[in-house]
Amino acid sequence: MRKRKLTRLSRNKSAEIHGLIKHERRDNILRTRLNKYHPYDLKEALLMMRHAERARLYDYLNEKTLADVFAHLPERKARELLNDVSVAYGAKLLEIMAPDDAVDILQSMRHKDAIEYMALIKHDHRNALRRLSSYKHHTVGSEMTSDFIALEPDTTVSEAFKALHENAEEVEAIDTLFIVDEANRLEGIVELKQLLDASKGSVLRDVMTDVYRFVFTEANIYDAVEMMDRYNLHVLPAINKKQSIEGVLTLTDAIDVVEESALADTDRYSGLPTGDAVFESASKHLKRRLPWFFVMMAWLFAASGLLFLLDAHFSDVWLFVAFLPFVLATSNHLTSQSLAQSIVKVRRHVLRPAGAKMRYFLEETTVTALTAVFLGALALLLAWGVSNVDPEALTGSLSSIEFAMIIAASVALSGLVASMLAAALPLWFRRRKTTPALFGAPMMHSISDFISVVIYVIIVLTFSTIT
Amino acid sequence: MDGQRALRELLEQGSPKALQNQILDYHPADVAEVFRKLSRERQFQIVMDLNHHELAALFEYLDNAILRPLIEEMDNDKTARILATMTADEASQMLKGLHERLRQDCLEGLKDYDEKVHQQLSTMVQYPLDSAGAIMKDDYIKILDQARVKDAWEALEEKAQRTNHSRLFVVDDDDFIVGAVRINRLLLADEESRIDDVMFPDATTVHYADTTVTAARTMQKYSIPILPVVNQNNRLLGVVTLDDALRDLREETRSDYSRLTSFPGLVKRRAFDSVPARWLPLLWHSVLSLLCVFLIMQVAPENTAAMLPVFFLPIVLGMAGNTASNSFTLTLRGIDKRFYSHPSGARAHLLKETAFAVTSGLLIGLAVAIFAGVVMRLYTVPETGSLNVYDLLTLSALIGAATWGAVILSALAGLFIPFAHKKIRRGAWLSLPFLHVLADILSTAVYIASLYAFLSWGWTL
Repeated sequence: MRKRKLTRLSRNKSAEIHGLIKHERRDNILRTRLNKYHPYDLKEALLMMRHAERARLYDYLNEKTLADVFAHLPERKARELLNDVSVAYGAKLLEIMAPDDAVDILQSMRHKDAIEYMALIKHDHRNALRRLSSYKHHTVGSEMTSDFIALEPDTTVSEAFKALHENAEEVEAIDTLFIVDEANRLEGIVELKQLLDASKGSVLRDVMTDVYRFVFTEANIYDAVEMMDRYNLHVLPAINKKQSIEGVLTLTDAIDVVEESALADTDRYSGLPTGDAVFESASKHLKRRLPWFFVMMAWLFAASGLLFLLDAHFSDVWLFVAFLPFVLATSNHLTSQSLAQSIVKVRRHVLRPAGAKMRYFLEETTVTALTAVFLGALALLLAWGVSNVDPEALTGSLSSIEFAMIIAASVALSGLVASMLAAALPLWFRRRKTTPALFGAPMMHSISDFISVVIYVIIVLTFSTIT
Repeated sequence: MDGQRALRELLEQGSPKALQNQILDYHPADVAEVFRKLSRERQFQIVMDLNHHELAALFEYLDNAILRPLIEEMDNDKTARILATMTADEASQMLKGLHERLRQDCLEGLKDYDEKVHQQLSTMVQYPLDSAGAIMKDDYIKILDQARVKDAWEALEEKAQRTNHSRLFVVDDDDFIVGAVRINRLLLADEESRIDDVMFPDATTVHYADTTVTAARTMQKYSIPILPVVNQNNRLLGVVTLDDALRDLREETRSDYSRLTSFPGLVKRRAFDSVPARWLPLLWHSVLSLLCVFLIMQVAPENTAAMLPVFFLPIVLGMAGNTASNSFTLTLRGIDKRFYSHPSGARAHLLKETAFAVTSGLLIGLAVAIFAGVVMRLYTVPETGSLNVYDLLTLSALIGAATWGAVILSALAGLFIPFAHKKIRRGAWLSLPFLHVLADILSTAVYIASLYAFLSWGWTL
C-alpha cells in the first residue's frame, strides 16, 4: 500500500503545497511538512500563490529552506518577491543562499536597492559577493560555485573527514576536496572515494591525483561547459591569473548554463521579453507586446502602401498578386536562418577576436548568396510551372518565362538583402542593451516583408518599362 | 597543440608497441577525435593492437557508424571482453547501434564470458532508445531502511570504487525505494541513528520508460547529480547521472532551437557546413507556399475596385505570422519547462493564449481597417474614380474583420503545433518556419476566400 501512495504523491507536489497553505490550519503540522519539500517544488507552489498565501508560506519555512526557494526562482521574480519580506530578512536570505545565486538576484535589482541590501549583509559575505559580481556575464567566474573545501597537502585523512563534518552544512558539493599550497595554488584533488579507500593516518599528498584540467575564471563559460561534456568531468576548478583557486564549476552549474542559454537564445530569436512571459496574465502580456505589434505594423503598412504602385499590373496579370505571399515567405525563411545563426554566435561570444565578426559576416553572406541563387532557380521553375498550368492567368504581352524570371529575381534579391541585414543587426547592435523585441524574428520578418515588397515593386516596374 | 600533433603521429604511424605504451597518456576523447579521421584499415589495425581496457575507454567516445564495421571484423571473444569492461550504459548504447544479427552474436559471445553482464545487457537493450532505462547504470549505493548510519559508512567504504557518492538510496526488504540520503546529511548525523530517520523520505525518481531528457530536466530542476530509475512499483533498477544528462540536455536545446529555426543552430563551426541543412527546409517550405498561389488564383476579380483588399495582404500575412510565432514560442517553452504536465495548467495556458489572440487580433484588425479606409479614400480607382463613402466603410470593415479572423486562426495553429511535437518523435519539421507557411495559407484562405465570397455573393463595387 505504502509504495503505491508514494508514487501517487510524487506527482504535482506544488499543487499539494498550495493546498496545504490554503486548507491546513494546524501550525505544527504546517511547519514540519512544508520544510520537508524540495525547494524546487516550493518554488513552483510559490509562483501559483497570492500575496497573503505567500506571506503564510514565509512564516512557516525556516531561513535555510526559504533561501533555497529564492535561489531556485528566476532572478527577476526573486527580486520582486523579496519585497514581500522586510529588507533585513531579505538580506539575511541573500546571505544564507549560495553566493552565486545571491549575486544574480542583486545584479537584477536597481543599484539603489542592491546597496540597501548589501549594507545589511555581513562583512565577509559582502566581500565574497563583491568579488563574484565583478566577473563579466559570460565568464566562468560568473557561474562557478565559490563554496568548496580546500585543504593543505599535509592534512591527514582523518583530519580531512573532520573538515568534511564541519563543512557538511555549509558546502553543497563535497564529493571533491581541493588540495592547495599556502598561496592557494591548486596542487591536486582528492575525491571522496579516494578518501574512503585510504588509511586514516596517511596524508592527502599521497592520496591526491594531479589536476589535468582547469579553467581560468575569465574564460568563456560555454567553452568550459563543452570541456566538461567532452572529458566527462564532474568538477572543473577555476583559477585566477596567479593560479590560485577561486571557485569550482560543477556539473549542476554546467547544466544550468546550458538550460539558461537555451532559453536566452529562444527568447532573443522569438523577440519575446526575457524571463517569465509564460506566467504573465494575458492583459499584461498584451500591454507589453502591443507597442511592438504597432512598430511591426508600421513596416507592413509602408509595404502595402507601396503595392499601390503596381495596381495596373495587378489588374492585368493577377499572377503577380498570387505570387506575392510566395515571394514574401521564401525570403522571410532565408532571413530567419541568418538571424538564427547570428544570435547563437553572438550569445556564445565566439566572435570576440578582432576581425571575427567581419569574417563571419562575409562567410554568412556568401552562404546566403548561394542559397538565394538556389531559391531563385527554384522559384523560376515553380513560377514557370504554375503560369503554364493556367494559360488564362497570363494575359497581354508577358510570356510565362518572362514572368518566371521576374519572380525568381525578386525572390533571390530580396532574400539576399533581407538576410544580410538579419545577419548584421545582432552583431553590431548587441552592445546597446536592446530588448530582444527590437531584432527578434517577428521584427525581422516585418522588415524583410517591407524589403521584399520594395524589391518586387522595383523589379516589376523596371521590367515593364524595358519591354 | 604539440600534444595534438604527437597524438596524430602516434595514431597514424605508431608501431604496435608505441601505441600500447603511449595511448594511456591521452584522454580517450582526444584519441577518439583523431581516430575518427583515420582510414578504415588503420582504424582496424589499431583496434587489433590495443587491449580491451584501452578499447573500452576509446569506444565510449566513438559514434556507432564508426564502431559498426570494426565490431563486425573483430572476433567475438574480444568484443565480449570490451563489452564487459565498458560501463553498462555505454555498452547498451553501443549494442543498440548494431544490426540485429550482430547484436545477438555479441550477446551470445558475452554469455560465455560473463553471465551476469550478459543478463544485464540483454534486459537493457530492450528498453526503448533514448529512454532512461537504456542509459542507466548500476553505479550507486543502496542501503536498507532499518540500517544505522554507521552501516552506511561501512557500505560506502566497501564500495569506494563506485564513482557517485553524493547520495545513497534507501530501500526496504523488497528493493523498493523509500527515500534518499545525502552524504552531507550522513556526515552531520549521529553514528547510531537509523537511516530512515535521517533520510529524505520522498526520493525523486524517474520511470525507466521516461525519456532521457525528462530525466535530465528532473536532475536540473532539483539540482541532484544522480537520479534513481524505477519501475511502476517503485522498485530500484539503476541510476542515471548528471554527466549523461548534460549531454542529453545539450542535444535537446539544439533540437529546440532547430524547431524555431528549422535547422540546427550552431552544430557546425563554419557557416558553409550548414548549407545542406538549410536548403532542405527551404525547398519544402517554398513548395508548400505554392498553395497560397493557387488559392489566390481562384478568385481573380473583375475590376480594380474589387481588387483593393489584396493590397493589404502583406499586413494580414505578416501580423498573423507574428501572432502565431508568439504563441508558438511561449507554448514550446512552457512545455519544455513542464508547466503543462498538469491538464489544468495546459487548459489555463490555452485559454490565456486564445484570449490574447482574440484581443490582439481585434486591435490589429481595427488598425488595418482604419489604415485601409484612409488609403482607399486617397486612392482613385482608374475606371470608376473614388469609392463612395458607403462602399468605403463596408469594405474597410470587411478587411478588418477578415484580418481578425486570420490572426486568431494562425495564433491557434501556433498554439497547438508544439503540443503535437511531443506526440510525434523527431517533429523538427514542424518548425516555426513551417508554422509561418501554415499561417500564410490559413490567413490567405480566410482573408481572400471569405472576402471574395462575400463580394461575389451580395455586393458589387
